[in-house]
Amino acid sequence: MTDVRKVIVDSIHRIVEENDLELSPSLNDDSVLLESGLDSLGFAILVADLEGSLGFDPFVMMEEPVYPNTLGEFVAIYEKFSEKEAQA
Amino acid sequence: MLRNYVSERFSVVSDIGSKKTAGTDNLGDVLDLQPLRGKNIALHCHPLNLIRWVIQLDGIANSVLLVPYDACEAFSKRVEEKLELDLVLTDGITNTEHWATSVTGHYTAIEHSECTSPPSEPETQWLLTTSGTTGTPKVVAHTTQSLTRTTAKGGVDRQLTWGLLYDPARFAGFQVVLQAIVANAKLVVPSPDLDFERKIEFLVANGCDALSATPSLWRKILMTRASRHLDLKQITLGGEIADQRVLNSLVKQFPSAAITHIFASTEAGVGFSVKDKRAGFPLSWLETGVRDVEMKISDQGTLCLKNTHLNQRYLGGGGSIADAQGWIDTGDVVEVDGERILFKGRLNGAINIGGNKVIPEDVETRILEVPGVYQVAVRAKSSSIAGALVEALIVPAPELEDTSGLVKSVKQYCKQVLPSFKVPAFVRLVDELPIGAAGKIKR
Repeated sequence: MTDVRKVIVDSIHRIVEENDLELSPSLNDDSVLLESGLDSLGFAILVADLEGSLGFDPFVMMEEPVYPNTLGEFVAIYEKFSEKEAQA
Repeated sequence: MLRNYVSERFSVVSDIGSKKTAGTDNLGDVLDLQPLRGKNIALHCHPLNLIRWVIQLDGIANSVLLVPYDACEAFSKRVEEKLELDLVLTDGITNTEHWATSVTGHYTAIEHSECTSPPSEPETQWLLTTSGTTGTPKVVAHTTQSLTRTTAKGGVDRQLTWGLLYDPARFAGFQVVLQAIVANAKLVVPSPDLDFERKIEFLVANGCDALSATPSLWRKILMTRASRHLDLKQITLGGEIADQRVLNSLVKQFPSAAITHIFASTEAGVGFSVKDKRAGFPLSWLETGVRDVEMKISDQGTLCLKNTHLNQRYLGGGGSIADAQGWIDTGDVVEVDGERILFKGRLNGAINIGGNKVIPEDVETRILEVPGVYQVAVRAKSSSIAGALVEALIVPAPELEDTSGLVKSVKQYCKQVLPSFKVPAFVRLVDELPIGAAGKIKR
């Protein structure tokens, strides 16, 4: 199974690099996404980028999207939908 | 006149933040209006003072340019080329070093009674700028009357405390300010230098229960921890297409709030609001109209509106916007979906990034300036977070042997010459551009 967390973290690093952003040095599950160095546009790019690499966008799939506060919450959403995708 | 609306109930709460400097102790005082009478003023100050001074300058100044808090040197230079400014009025909190026009700090207070009965009351023009703080700002003139025409006066809004997340010098923010003034509501204004989470915390701490934002900004609000403590009674969405998912998320988090999404064609000075918490608007409105607005769909699939209540002079000064029968083409493509009419985007291909408009051709022109770029097509890539993102497809010049650095140099160049929302989020190298049957680039 795809290591969703790794794909996400790699994607964050790439977007930060490509857009000259500054990533918070201690990126962990409790990191607040909007304070991690990604701005809101960077976050939108991340979600679009992950759709390319993982093949789905949970924020389109949810009828009532839940918007994550921390990296941990964000990864959990992707892991949940990754399992659903695998079963489908 | 704005000050006529202001009663004891109206108040503005803000935190001036850490940038408090000497000379700003009289922030709550009224301006010395005498030297400002009939002048063309640029107001460059903290949002709190901008709001206070706007109220005092209405009917005093000939025109007031509302300068965005973070305006940079390029902004001042360009507006000074375009406008005849008499003076820049500041509170000492913003950086005003780059203005060529003389800068006046206001530190002296006079009696309020002196400014309530001025000998002449010009209809003050509010000059609002569009687009980013870099690039050429487009200046649009408004009057208090034209901006408050559709604003509800008094009534239920009296009970509300509006939060202001936009710069009041921008159109969306100024609308919130005027709405609060006219309705005598309380206004909570977090300092622009706070980070986003702290802004929402400030709104919570000050009892904000009404908030207006674009769908993209609402998604960002919902990402904050503090938003879980917001107790909203009124939610307003505008500036972008409100899809069903963002409406559902808001209903879930704020079950007791009234939710209004606004459709407005600013050029035409006409619009309507939808309050049933569903995307788009009812198909039946094509038959019945809504309030003073009649609707039809053009042959091109765009929404056309006719305001039955207004005459031509309200139409932004341009009678040509409306056809002989008074119909105004909004340029917004719509689609019938069951009993609903849904918005699909702009006919001219303009991309809406979180409420900011991007014309693809503008970005294409800039990208073509980068050495090694042969052809380019800029188009929207739909985004579940920002509504849309800018994507650029590039055909490298045939003589360019090594294309590895091209994507990065395009991005870097765009960053230098374009405001951030116009910079392509995705730059892809392709062999050829997607060209449709009509020979036009498929966007």
